[in-house]
Amino acid sequence: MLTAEFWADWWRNFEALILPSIFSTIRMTLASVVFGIIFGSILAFFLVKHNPKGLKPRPTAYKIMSFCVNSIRSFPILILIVAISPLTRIVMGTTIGETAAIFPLTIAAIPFVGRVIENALIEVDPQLIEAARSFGVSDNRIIVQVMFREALPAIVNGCTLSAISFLVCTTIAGAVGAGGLGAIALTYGYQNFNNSILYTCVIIIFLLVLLVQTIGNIIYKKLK
Amino acid sequence: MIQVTNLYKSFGELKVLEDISLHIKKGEIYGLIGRSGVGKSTLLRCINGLESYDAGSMLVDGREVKAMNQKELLAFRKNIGFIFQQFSLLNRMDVYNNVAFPMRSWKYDKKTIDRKVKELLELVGLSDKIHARPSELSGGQKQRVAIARALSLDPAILLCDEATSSLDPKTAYSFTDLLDKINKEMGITIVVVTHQMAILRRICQNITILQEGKVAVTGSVEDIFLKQHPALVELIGQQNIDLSQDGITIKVVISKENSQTPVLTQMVRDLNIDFVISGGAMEKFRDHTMGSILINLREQDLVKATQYLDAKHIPWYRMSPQEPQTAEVSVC
Repeated sequence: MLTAEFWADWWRNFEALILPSIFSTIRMTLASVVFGIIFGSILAFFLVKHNPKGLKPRPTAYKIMSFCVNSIRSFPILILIVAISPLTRIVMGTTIGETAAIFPLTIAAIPFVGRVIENALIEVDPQLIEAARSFGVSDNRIIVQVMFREALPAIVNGCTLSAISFLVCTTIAGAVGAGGLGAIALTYGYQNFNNSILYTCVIIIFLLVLLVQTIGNIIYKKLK
Repeated sequence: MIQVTNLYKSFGELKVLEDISLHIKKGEIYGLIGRSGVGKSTLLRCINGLESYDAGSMLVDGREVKAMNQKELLAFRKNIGFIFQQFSLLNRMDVYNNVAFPMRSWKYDKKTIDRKVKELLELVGLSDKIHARPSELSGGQKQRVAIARALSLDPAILLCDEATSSLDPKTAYSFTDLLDKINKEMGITIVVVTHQMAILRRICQNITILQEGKVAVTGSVEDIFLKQHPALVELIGQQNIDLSQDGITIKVVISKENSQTPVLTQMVRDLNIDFVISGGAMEKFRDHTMGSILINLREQDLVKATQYLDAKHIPWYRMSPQEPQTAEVSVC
């Protein structure tokens, strides 16, 4: 089975299909996670600030934000991509391909990362916050300079978790025209009965997950 | 400096502070003592506005704390240092940055920050730990960093919330010595909340004992000790002394005025009586020693002896053997 012909065939597929899709997957993951972290941090900032037990309690605002977060998070990613495709078309101009997929993935990533960061921030020792308040530090500064700073290792852990989760999501998005490793594995591997492509993709996704986790662990250790 | 009048505060149904009135003078070390959960920490947090109050007045430097808006409150808190039981240091910053943190928030310039941090660490004796992480420090050292941080904004008032409770007695004493030094050298008014009587006795001039959210007694440390106020007895408990069933045991208080005169031996000679010494304790105060001696007299000598003591203005108390001995003796 593992003849020279097999390997020649495998290499052709790898070069033409899999290799570009690896970069496509990485780009989609990076984009959704980076946007997720940026906007998720902002979301977490307000969630923590206006939490009923937070620095500036605004229960109604918190409930609305929390409701939105929960609603978006309750969509399975596949359904979300399809459901918001009209919006995707308006914003990105298309609903097919890598660029189009980044939009729904980011929409899904923001509340996910937001919650993850919020949870990390809540774990910060309330005495540290009280101490900062006792020096007359403003609420916004406390959140940024005390909470975010102290929770950074936990936030990094959460972001690693999110990155892996969204790496997996991009492959699911492949089923509805996003491209990337998921699309290759499904169309050229599964539907074409080409096991070599299917399992090559599986192994590469596995390696990517491993890579993200390792990088996350290294940063976590550095910060701790 | 701090004038509290008829202050009330409750958390929902729970009344935490009821009708609290007290006055803390500028430049003194004031003690608030009571069992856990009597509201002393809450009262302390009302002083710098970390907690608000429901009714009454809290005047600090002539200003009503509750009436301040957010911005005024921040500037007001800048003037009040706060030290916590659990030190509350930022674990991901080194000692230098921890002390610099409040000054950075108030946008002090770099040179001032650098100078002040070094000065303060010198003061608290931690110059060699300037780049250590809090996790590398002992409890006593962490609390010293917390003091340096609390002093970084040149506060007029320093509030200490159970600052010695997680330190061992020896470290706690060196900490109180430091507070004493800060008080004397910088003239900072210090308010100490604690459940450790020994700490108060060492540094405070005036104290208030809180019981279930109310002021049980307020006055000078010596006075409260001298008169053996019931709230004090309730707080520190009776020491476990076997009171003899025969005769009568009285407690003679040795105060600042009479600690240098041989009162009891004179009394023995003058009255020609005998007694048994059944116990005693000497306590070190801020600048002097005070204590008490338990003597067991025959019943027929009691009147003679007490009249003698009264004539010499020596306080005494009759000990009743049936008194409950549920002593939760604090670190003395």
